[in-house]
Amino acid sequence: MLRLWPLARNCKATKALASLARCSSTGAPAKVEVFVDDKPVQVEPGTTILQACAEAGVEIPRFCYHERLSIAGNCRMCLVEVEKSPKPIASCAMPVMKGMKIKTDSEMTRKAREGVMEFLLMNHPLDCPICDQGGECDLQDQSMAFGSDRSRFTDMEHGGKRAVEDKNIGPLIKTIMTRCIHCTRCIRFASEVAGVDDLGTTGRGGDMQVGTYVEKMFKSELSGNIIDLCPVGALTAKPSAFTARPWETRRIDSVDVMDALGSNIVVNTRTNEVLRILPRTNDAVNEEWISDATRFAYDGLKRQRLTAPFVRNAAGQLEQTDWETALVKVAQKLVQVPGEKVAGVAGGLVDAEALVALKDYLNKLGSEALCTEEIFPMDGAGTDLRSNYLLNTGIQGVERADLILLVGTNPRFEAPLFNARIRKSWINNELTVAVVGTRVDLTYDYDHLGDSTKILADIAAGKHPFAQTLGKAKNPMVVVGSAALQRKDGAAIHRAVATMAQNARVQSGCGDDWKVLNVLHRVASQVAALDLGYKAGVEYIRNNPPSVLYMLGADEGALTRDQLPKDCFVIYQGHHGDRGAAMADVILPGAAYTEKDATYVNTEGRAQYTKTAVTPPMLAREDWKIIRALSEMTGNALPYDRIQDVRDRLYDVSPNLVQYGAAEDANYFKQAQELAAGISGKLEEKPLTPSLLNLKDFYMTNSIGRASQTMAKCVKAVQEMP
Amino acid sequence: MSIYLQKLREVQQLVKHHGGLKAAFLTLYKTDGLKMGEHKGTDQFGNRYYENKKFFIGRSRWVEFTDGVGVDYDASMIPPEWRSWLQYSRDETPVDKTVAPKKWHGPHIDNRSGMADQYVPYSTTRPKIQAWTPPRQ
Repeated sequence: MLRLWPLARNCKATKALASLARCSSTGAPAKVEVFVDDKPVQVEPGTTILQACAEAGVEIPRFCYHERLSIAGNCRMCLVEVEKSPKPIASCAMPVMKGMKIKTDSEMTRKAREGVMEFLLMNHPLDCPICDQGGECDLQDQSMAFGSDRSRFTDMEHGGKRAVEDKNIGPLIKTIMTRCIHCTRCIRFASEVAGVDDLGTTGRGGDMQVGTYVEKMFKSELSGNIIDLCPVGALTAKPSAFTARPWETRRIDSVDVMDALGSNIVVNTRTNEVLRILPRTNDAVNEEWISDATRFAYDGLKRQRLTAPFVRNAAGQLEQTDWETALVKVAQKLVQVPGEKVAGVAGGLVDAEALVALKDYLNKLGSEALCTEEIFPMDGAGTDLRSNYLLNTGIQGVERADLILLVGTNPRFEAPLFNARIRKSWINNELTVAVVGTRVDLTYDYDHLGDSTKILADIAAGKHPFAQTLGKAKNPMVVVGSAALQRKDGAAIHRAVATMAQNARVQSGCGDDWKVLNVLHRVASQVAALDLGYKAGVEYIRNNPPSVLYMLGADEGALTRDQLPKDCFVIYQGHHGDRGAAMADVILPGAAYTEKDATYVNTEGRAQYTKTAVTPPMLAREDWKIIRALSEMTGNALPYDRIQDVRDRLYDVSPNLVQYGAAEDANYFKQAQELAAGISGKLEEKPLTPSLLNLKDFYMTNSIGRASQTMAKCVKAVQEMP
Repeated sequence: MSIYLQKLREVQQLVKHHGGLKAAFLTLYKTDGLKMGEHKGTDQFGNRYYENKKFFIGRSRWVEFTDGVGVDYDASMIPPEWRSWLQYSRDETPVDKTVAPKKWHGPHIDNRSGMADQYVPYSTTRPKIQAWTPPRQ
């Protein structure tokens, strides 16, 4: 069952032709031999001519074809000559046949390309000098490579070029529809990947228009990707319009921290300023998409920044000072109080280097009170066994799964690319999805089992009919959102989920390499923090009131002033003036993720690193260096001077933290479950409701998003535009 | 012989004009030359202006800067009305024909570059980073 009609149609055609190809071949060879420019290539039956050429090392020009979207075959740029065929053939839509002789550089092919290009350019404006796509435009490049060297366009007095009204589809995407060449990539992306069928075409031939028919916003959390997909400048980024040319920018590979997936990104900078963020292809994590928060929240990195240290003066006002004053003030306080009265809280955007530096430092002072803002149940095995808190199956594992149960999570907004992966699998692999929790729009159909926690207990006990479905599935996945574990009965929910996952693992006979239990985190730092031995949740600090509280980027308000003793000295270290900075006595300005070499571990346990794209603003410094400097001031210097030393220390604590690019497996599900049996907590009556329900909740989930004007505009547009 | 006597007499006159041997030597040191001319006037800063039409145009009008500045003088110390006479833009000196000050004229300030009170243009570009200001309580 293919759940999208255009895909189903293509698939049928491909299958039919593939079988034809197989029939005509004598014997059993699984591969078909074709000749690309007389060079023999062996390809799978059913691959298209374009893919066969790619295998032979010949790139066919194309506009509408995209390997992650369905085949449209409407731009005609990929026409090639095939021997014994009277007409050139659209290579993107034509499956190979045995012995096909493809000529990619013949007279006919070149003439066909030139003709197509001439028609495209006839209705394309000549505004390349003011077009934001200039320099990275497929039409520009391909007209240089395959177009004619002169124009025959003389229709100036007869109406001139086609002109199309621009569409307003929201605050993120700028449309200049006159430039559109009708490749329909955006339409296919919207309906296939994003699952929001907002875009389409109206009219035919020269009157064809791509748009939303009635003016409405393209309401998707992945909408920015159509900017990258657009081969021309019809869809460009509104926030970065007219800021820079692509050849002026420096591109630095990095990793995103807006959600726990760690999407791979390329940070584009110029003159020490982040100009835009683009996706970087990584099939294991984000394929080649990124979410809108990842792509557009970068302007939050330029606003509300902590650029100098602050110290609260006698009048109770925060006053700007220099590093020496601030560090001396903190050091004096830390020396005065006993070590066990010092506590640390880490927020959601903190890197592993800073986390290990703070932990080592506070441990040296004699404190064990190191917590994360994000709660995770510590009962039973708690965070001692990694398998308890990882997305064990992996993001790519979704494509092998045949049943997914989502518990108390809305992956569409908590981890948009994970949701896109589920949708991809739902379309192509007959994946069945079931949800326990509030009914939300996930862009695909699912069985809604209810939102009561009782269902969880029933499934775990095998009383619910879904327990049988779970047992029968070959590769089941149970995904529990960390939002559900924030509740008082988080431990009981985790136990129920772990039990049903373990039962499913035993019943389905999926073997040892298939893992069923998955935890989908919401913040980028959590897995690294738990790997390093931070206590999840601030309960420990509430029970043992500290005299000095060190907040490392803790901005979500897990601890407020009222919950701390009156005379508690609060140190905030971070990059944004947000909730944490407002309640601090001393503020130490740190660096944001684009400004430091830092390690982040994503929800599946994959260690990845960011690179310094721009320098930290003004007096702000890299986070681990601040803690290192402070440790020197209090006379128990941390034993690392360079980033490599910190990473060596990370390796000592947990080698997986510096095995970049690899997701370290976790196991011991059975043992974890045995330990979990001792958990006493009971499930509460409260329905399971994820914190992010609608698109408007998606944009501002951390201090960078809250500081971003673009994100604020998105929230406003989602609420106001139809 | 008489030529040399005449030259000697001229030197004598020059020295007398500049007020003695010491003063003449000081002027020579400051201006690298001794010229005799009619004193046409003195501006508000004490700079003295001379003219001697025996010299060709370009050298016939000159200024001796006020004594206070020593060798530390600068063409920008000359106020505009005297400058225009000095550069032959005007025939009359400001003493012969006063220049009516316009209401938008400010006091004359010489070039302060390199001094503590030098002019520094302010930045017209928008700051790249907007810093956080702590909330007032």
